[in-house]
Amino acid sequence: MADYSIHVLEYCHVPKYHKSGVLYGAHNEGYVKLPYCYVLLRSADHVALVDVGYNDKDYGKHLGDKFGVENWRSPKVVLAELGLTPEDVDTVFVTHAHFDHFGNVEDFPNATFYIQRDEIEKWVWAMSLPDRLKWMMIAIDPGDVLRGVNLAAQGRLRTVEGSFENVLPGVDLHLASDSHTFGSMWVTVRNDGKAQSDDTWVLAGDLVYQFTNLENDGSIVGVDTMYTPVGLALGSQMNLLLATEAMMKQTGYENRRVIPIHEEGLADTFPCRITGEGLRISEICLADGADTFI
Amino acid sequence: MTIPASTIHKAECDVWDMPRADSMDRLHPQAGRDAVTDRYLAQIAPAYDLLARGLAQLSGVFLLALTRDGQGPGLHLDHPVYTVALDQMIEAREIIALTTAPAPARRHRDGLVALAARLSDAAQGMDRLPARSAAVDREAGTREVLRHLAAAQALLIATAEPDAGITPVDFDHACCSCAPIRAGQ
Repeated sequence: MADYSIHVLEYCHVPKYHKSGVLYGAHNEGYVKLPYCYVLLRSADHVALVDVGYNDKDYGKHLGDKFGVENWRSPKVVLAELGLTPEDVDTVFVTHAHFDHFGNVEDFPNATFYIQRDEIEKWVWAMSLPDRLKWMMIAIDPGDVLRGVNLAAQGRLRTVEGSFENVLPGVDLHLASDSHTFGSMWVTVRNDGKAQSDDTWVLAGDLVYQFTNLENDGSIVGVDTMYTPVGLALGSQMNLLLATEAMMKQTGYENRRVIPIHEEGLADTFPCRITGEGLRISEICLADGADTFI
Repeated sequence: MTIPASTIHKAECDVWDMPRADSMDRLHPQAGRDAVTDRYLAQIAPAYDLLARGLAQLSGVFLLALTRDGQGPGLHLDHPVYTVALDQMIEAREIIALTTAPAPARRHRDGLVALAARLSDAAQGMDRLPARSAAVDREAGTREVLRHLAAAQALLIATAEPDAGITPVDFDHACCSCAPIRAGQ
């Protein structure tokens, strides 16, 4: 029995991204393609997203010109491939407050948003620090925080403190404190609805960029494979590794069940297709009776 | 048709200070065009950064106050960052006041003055909220703060000069940015 269909939906990409940003210690190892994605969870009763992408209206040209971000498409275009509109989305889980995950909330007028309170509180604190500590403020858009206020005023923003079980039936939220960001969150889907699930999927946000973070060459320390954290961490690499262990434990240590959204290699693991707009849809699993979109 | 007098702006109102269509490029003082403008952009950049932070701080404190559960209905502005934000806005105003804008940058500087004023209005609105006891008053006060913050955000976008490093978001080391690609580094 599976309650949710899960799809990873690309909405733009960077053709060449430093591998060292993806994998800690991978200096001078070239570039990888980095898709930007959000994840769709769909059940008989809910349409939910994990993250919402960024707001191309304000920054699209700047990101394209300066950073090479290509082929941005709106949620309206992306979701249409699965027969949905942004208005159909009732719930959004924001894994962290970086612009490319939290920057497009306005496109989802009927959704209630969930974010870790730590993430907001510590970002606000970081904004008060002197310039020499400005590194802690990277990738945060003041406009996104303001959009969060608008959601809060409408009663559509819930701040979460730590773990939150069954935020939707069979869906749990977990905090990875001081890891990729101050209050990064991962989303666990127990797709059979059981407390001790045999069908668990973990949507990792940026706690894991690629499958290599879960299974990297461990010969340097005398083991076959080992976890290796992402290259970019505002908190600590140790906390990233501990979060990785917690996520893997939830899946019974089955790598393919921890879903990294910036992983181009999802295509090698799950059914997928490229849309007419040149965007990849990866089908992680299907709910009972649901039709494939591949 | 009778037009209510209150809808007509007075002659001295700055709403009439609109740029000519053929001078729109002068709204943005371009970096690298002349030394005076470059000096202005370098001097004003810290003020812009402080105002951007002020917007994020006020928005963040307001968000935290609005989503605080089980702490009573009032707005709690006891967050230390609220005080920091007020101090930084004062610092921004001082920088702006000390910065002389060359002709191509005057409207840009005016925009920053307006931005600082909007943030100040938002802070004052937040300050008044706890005294509003009726729910309907609080809702009106909340909307007022949101209007000021939204206007400030619009001005922040309008006065951004990315080529001069004046931008509300530092994307250079963002988790998913790829800064060196286009720069050829």
